[in-house]
This record gives sequence, structure tokens and C-alpha cells, in this order.
Amino acid sequence: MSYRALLPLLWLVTLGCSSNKNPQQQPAADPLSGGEGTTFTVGKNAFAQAAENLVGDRRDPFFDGNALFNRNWATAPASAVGVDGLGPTYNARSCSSCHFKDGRGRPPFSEDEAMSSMLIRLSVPGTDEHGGPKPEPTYGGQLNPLGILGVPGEGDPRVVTSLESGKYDDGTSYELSVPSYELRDLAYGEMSADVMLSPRTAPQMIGLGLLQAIDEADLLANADEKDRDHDGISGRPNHVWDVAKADVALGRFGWKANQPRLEQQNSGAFLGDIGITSPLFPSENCTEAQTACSAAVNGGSPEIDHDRVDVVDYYSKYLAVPARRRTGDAQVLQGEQLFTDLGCSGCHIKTFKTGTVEDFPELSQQTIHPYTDLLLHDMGDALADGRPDFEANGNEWRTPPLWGVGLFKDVNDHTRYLHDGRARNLEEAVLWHGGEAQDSADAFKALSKSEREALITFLGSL
Amino acid sequence: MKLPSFRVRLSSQVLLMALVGSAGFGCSSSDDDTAAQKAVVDNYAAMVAANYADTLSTAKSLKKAIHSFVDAPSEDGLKEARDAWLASRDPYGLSEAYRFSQGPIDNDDSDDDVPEGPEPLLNSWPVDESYIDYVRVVTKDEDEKEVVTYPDGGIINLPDEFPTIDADALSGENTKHGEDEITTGYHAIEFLLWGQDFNVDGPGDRSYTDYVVGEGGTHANQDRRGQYLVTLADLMVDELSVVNDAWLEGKANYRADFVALPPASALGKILLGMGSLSGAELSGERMSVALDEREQEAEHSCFSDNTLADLRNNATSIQNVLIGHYGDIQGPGIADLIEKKDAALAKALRDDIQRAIDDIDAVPPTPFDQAIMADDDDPARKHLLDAVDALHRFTPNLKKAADTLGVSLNLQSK
Repeated sequence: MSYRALLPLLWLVTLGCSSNKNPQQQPAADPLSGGEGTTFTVGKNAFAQAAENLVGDRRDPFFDGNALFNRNWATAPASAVGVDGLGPTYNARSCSSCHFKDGRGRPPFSEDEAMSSMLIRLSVPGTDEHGGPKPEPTYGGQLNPLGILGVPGEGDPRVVTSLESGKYDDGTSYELSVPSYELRDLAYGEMSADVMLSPRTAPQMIGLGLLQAIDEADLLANADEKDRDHDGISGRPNHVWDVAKADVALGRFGWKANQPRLEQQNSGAFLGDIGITSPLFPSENCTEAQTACSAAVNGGSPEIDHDRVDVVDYYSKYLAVPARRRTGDAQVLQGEQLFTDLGCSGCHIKTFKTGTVEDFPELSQQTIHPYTDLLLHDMGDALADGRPDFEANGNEWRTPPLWGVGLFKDVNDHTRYLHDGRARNLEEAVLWHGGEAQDSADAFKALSKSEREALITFLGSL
Repeated sequence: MKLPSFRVRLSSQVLLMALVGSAGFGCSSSDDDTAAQKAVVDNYAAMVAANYADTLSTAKSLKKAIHSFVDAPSEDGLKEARDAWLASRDPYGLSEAYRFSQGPIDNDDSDDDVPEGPEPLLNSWPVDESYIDYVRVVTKDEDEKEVVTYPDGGIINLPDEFPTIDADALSGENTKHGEDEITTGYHAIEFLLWGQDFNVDGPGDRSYTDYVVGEGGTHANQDRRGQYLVTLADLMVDELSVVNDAWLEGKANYRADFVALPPASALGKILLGMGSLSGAELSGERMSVALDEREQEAEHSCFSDNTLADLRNNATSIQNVLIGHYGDIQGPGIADLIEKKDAALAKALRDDIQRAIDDIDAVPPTPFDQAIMADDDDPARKHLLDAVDALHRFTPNLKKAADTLGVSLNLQSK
């Protein structure tokens, strides 16, 4: 008997203790969001599990990767020679300090709090040699607020917020928190007058290998750049630079789908966020103006070797997706129906079947429910960062996967959503949707209170 | 419905979901079971209190030895301080099975009533030693010949940037960016007592003269180095006092709340601590990773070469909770509860943790760093690999035990 077939039975088993919340006997939703690797762990470690179908010795590299993911990097030279080479400038000392418990980063709660699990990308108009963003000449492609001793951190980013109010169609009012950014104490002089900023929180790490395992053709099938079906939704793939292949590739990861593969995303984060050079990115990110940065002792060339990058990649591929909760609950099912009716499911596509990935059988041929198309959409002026990233324009964002969004509170003690964490709960996240999603957001505002609650309850079940 | 046959096929975690609603609240466990569980929880609380009392008293001895040494630096004084450090590591290592369960030592959940735990200030690794003091720097000259220098660096040698070295400055430094700057705790003290370890055959050999102010002193800023060391020792006693107080009997403290929990909830915390240590932390982070990486200093007490003792203490810590034993305390343990439900499972748990300890003990007295770099057929390395295997059997069995006891256990482990 298969795992999947057992679940309705399980629901019956538990029925004795809980009240029947599904009197219409609608079929329960599939709880296995991440296929056979789905974890049933809840609570603080809900995002920190290895895929359930990863078994035996195949778990070993996962745990080596886990250790490196949590490891604090030390200033070079250090006795822990394998993990020295921090910075010279950096955002964090470990992967897990932003992706805490493999979860979601957030903006500071107030102007007085330093930014610790999100970052600010920088660029000036134009492109680099591969069509990517052109780094700010003095500060590079990302603000690194911290520096090792003797190398000044680049500056202190602060978030200042103001409130904006609005009303649902039924007259109920709501407030949205609108962020703006100040870069204080810039250590290397003024930035270019035409600098563009893109603030981004650290995303949750779950199910990334499954997203990479979706066949490109299945993603491109949803692209509709010219909106030929006239549903108001375009859906564009980003085409980005694959460093290892030295070629253009489909972008899948990152808030603007600017990374083609986890291997590149991870090495990019090692360099950009922690200051660790790798086989893929062998040069420290010090700009010409940053002389102390260039003169600092490094932790070897490169600072993380191929084998260790490999186990971190392996780890990032196999973090399990948590199972949905309350899948038979009538309110959840009503909410999912509304999600479809309002058109949310046009971009937040529920189901894919992964392709076959050589050497990664646990990720292959899995039916998954990520609620994303991994494509770019114009999300309106209010959410825009105004900073192009390869083919993504300043208004476009990649549809983020929604699996796990109901668990941020459990794992990370907050409920902040969207690329910069401006939404203080799921309801605000929906309300911020504009551009191609404006009609859906308007339709949400027109719902009754109980319908709105049903939609939010559904999202919370993911 | 043939429920039992379904249960056999269900994964442990699915089964757990089914049991979660009823766990510990009288649905699945009888009053007898609850009383037995409560006895285990009470005995555990007594063990924890005794262990932290030892941890605190040995830390106080260390503080005393460090103050004496810094007041009048000498070869003997340095040895006494090092011995006191080694003695203080034993009870601390034995206490690590009490971590990972949002208790006073390492709670990191800002949402509950327990204050944030001081563990990051006490035991973070790896130490960012060049953030603290001078380190050896190897560069190459024009002829590609290696040049070794010891440039003044670190907080100790930056009096302009860090004019005051006191508890506020160092604990603030340690937490300025989350758990980031690793500049306090056991391993920072270890670095200041032993220095970096470049010896194949033994630990680091920092000279006591690094602390001699004036004539005969080596390296710069000896007074600031002494001040740093004394401050770390003071800070450690302060932090451990807080943890100790939280477990004292008969006070309105964490212990009082803990023993008042429904026994199944308290057991969940106990098992989470044991399983997190046996799984992700000890067999994973502290052993497998070091063995896989084969880096000389991928070991935790790398300056003093005390890592084998650390490992033994950690494994014993798990055993202690399993069998309800610490020092003079011997009472009901987790194994006694499991025994009543599944004697074979209780035996497997007892045997595997003993195997792990025996294998760690059987490692010949080569330093751990040499053992992890050796070939796979090297006896030292082989014993360590066998210990990891034993822990790899232990941890899933502990999950099974949780299921058997009707206790919810969400581990990140094999």
C-alpha cells in the first residue's frame, strides 16, 4: 500500500479525537506538498529536515552539508583552516544566520534594529558583460555592512517605515507598512548618484532541489510573454548567465529568478554574503576603492573547496517540504477554491511533476505542490524595486513558492512576507499585489470577511 | 478496520501525527505510566541541577586560577590555569544533553518566557582567534619562500579601537551580530591559555610570558591580554550562575515550571535534547564532519587537544539521561520507561550508547586531530567511525522510543 493512499485512512484514524470539520465531505487536499520526500515535522525544525525518501548512506552528505550551513566562518588565518576566510566585508558569518533554521529572513522590526537576515543589492544603469546588473563602482553588487578587523564594513542600512491605510469593499479598513531605506555611515564615500537598491530577505530553503528538478519545458509552457490568452498575466522566463557553462540559461532561483541553478546560487551567496571564495567565484569581492579589503589575508584560494561546495549543494537540494496541515478542513478547502477563483493560481501554479535527475532519484518523478510558476511577473509600481536583473525589469518579480508560508511563525518567530518582508502577515502580502495581480487583489478586497479569512486560512495550511 | 497492520506500515512520523492529539493526556497512557514518567522528570531535574552545580564550581576554580596567574604570571601558574580549564570542561561536556530543548542554557525562542540562553557566549566554535589576539601569518616572499610573522592584531592589540576590555564590551562584541563574533567562552579562554596549535604531537604552547608586563614579556599588550582573559573567566562564572539558578530546587524558576509540565511534554524536551546531541550535533557536526573533512583543526578543543574528552563527556551525557545517573544521583531514567513497553528497544539504546563510549575510549592516545586525518584502516579513526555508527543506530531508536512512550519528538537527525 502506498504512502499516499494511507493518508485518508489516517484522517479517519484521528477523526475520533477531533470534531468533524468537513461536513460536506469534500475530498481533502493532498498534504504531500513535496512528493515522497515530504516531512511531517512541525514546529521550530519544520524546515530543517532531510527529505523523507532520502535514506541510509544517502543521508550522510546531507548532514555534512548541514554542519557547513551552520558553521561560523572565522577570520583568516585561523586554526580551523577549513572554515577561515570570512569577508573581508560580509553580511553574515554563516548561511544559517540569515536562513535561521533553514527558514525565512525578515527586515528589522524598527529603525533601531540592524539588518541581519536580509540584504541590499546595488547596481547602476547598464549591464555587466553577461547582461546582469552593473555593480555600483565603489561598493560592488551588494552592500556588506560588516568587515573583519581592519576592514571597515561598507555601511549601515536602516529601514524606515510609514503607514498607509486602505479599505476593503465591505468598509473594513486595513493598514500597510511602507518601507524606505537609508544607507548610513557609508565607509567608502558617496555612492553613485544613479545607484539602484534592491532589498531582499533570505528565503526559506525547503524544496529547492525539487524546483530545480522541474523540466524546463514544463516551466516554459506557462510563459505567456505577450499575454496571448488575454488573462492579464504575462509570465516571462528570465534568461541569466550560467557561470560554469559559460552560457545563457533559464533563471529559476532568487527573488528575480536571476540564478539558474542551486550550485551557482550557493556559491554566489558564499561570496556575496559571507565573503568566501569558491571554485566558481574565485576572487574576493573588493572593489578598487577598497584597499584594506584587497590587502587582507585570505583563507586559501579558494576558501571553500569543491567537495565542500558539493555537500552544501546536496544539503540545499534535499531539505524537505513540510506536509500541509488541516487538509480536510472545510475552511481551508473553501480558501483554496477562492484562491483559484480569484486567479491567484494563474501564477501560483499548484502542481508540477519533476523530471528525471541523474544521481538524484529522490528528486525525480515527484508530484509536488509548490504554488509557483518560477516566472517573472509585473507586480506593479508599489512593489517595484526599479532595478533590472538580467531580463527582469524593475517592476518584475519571480512568483515565489508558497509551500511553507504558514510555518514562518513556528520556525522563525515572524510572519513577514514578500521580497523585502514589508507585509506583516499573509493578508497584507495579498493586498500588496499589483500589476498583473491587481485584479486578483481587487477581487480579494471585494470578498466578505469570512471569505477573506478562508483564503488566509488556506495559505496558512501550506 | 485493521488498525494494527496500518500502523506497522506507517512511518514513525505519520504515526506520531496520529498520536499527537492524545499524547500524555490520558488517552494512551494510564495513570501508572504518568506517575512513572513524572518520576523520571523529577530525577532528571535533580541530575541537571547537580551537573550545573559542578559546572559552576569548576568554572569558579578556573576563574580563581586565572586571576592568580594573571596577577603573577609564571610557568606553574599557567599550568594550574590550564588544568583548571580541563577540569571545568568535564561537567560542561556532561551537561550538553540538556541543550536543544529551549531550556535555560540555550533557549533561542524569543516567543516564550524563558530568557535567551548564554550557550553562544559559553561554547561557540570555531573561535575567531584573530579577532581576539595575534595569530601566526604565513606569507610568501619574492622567492616564493614562506615567511612566518606574528603581527599584532585582534581586540587585545587594538587599544585605540577597543579602549576598554570589560564584560560589557566582550559580551556585546559576542552578540553584536547575532551569535556572530566568537570572542568569549571556553574556547576563547582555551586559545588564550594554550595559543594556536601547530604541534603534531601535542597542544598549543603559548608561553606564560605573553602575560608578563614589562621586562621578559613577549608580544605586545600583555596587560590587555591578561585583562581579556580575566574578563572571560568572570563572564563565564556569571553566565553559568544564571543557568545554575534556573535549576535550583525549591525556587520559583525554570525547574519549578519544568517539573510542573505534563510529564509527556517534559519528556519531549528531554528526548529532544538527547536526540539532538546524539544525532545532528555529536555524531554529525562534532564527529562525522571532522572525520569527513580530515582537517587537522576540525576539532572543537583544538588548542588544548582535549577533543576526545569532550566527545566522551558528550556521549556519557546522553547515557546519563538514558539511565538516570549523574554523580551520586541514581534514579529512574528514560530507559526504565522504555523497558516497560519494549525491552528490546531499551536494551538496544543502552548497548549502542555504551558502544559509542567504549569506542571513544578505545581510541589510542593519539591526539584527535591526528586520528581524523589518518587512513580509514587506522585503529584510532576506525574506533571513531564505529562510535559514529553506534550513535547512528541510537538516534533513530530514540525516535522509536518517543513513539512508544507517546511523546512528540521532532528531531533534525538521521
